[in-house]
Amino acid sequence: MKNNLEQLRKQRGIKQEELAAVLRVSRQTIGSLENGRYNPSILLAFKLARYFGLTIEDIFIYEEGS
Amino acid sequence: MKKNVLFMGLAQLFFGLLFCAAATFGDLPYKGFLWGLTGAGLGCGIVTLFSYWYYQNPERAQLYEKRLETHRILLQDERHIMLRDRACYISFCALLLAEGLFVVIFSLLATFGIFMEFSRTVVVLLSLLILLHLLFNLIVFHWLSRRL
Repeated sequence: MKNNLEQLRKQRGIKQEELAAVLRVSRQTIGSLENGRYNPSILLAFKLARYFGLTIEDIFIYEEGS
Repeated sequence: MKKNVLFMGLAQLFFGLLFCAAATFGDLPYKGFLWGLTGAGLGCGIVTLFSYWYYQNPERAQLYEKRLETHRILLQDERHIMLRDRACYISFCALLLAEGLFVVIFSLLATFGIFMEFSRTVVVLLSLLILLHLLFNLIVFHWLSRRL
């Protein structure tokens, strides 16, 4: 699953540490999400979407067979 | 830092001293065990009291709160939870493999009559351990399965 997380975060001028603190996850989790190495739970996906004021589909791109 | 840390440190120190006195003055057959408890009590007590004193400083208290917060986040962080689960699974498999390997090695030793009694005991104990591992795994799996 791909995502626009890094792009969205940089657009808003937020550091990984800051985003992690708001969402109450570790900085490494944000890093792994941005690199696409880790897919978030539905709860974290909702938290991220709510934080950026977008829908989950705006942030995460599901590709068939991925 | 909370006051209960101080009380815990004092209690550990007290029990350490108590075991030390019992090991020194008591005419008991299990002195080695008491010395072990003494070391554990005194060691933990001193470390706990030192950390309590160290984090009493207001500047360090902030640092301590930050450390606690990081610790709290790491406990709930879903990536860390996943990593812990995977680490436990890999450790479980590796341990089973190691136990199986040792059973084979000690069975061969017993067959060739090397350390006969010891090898037989090890084979029996390790086989029981493997059985227990698998049994616990099954029980926990079914227990979790019913809850989810």
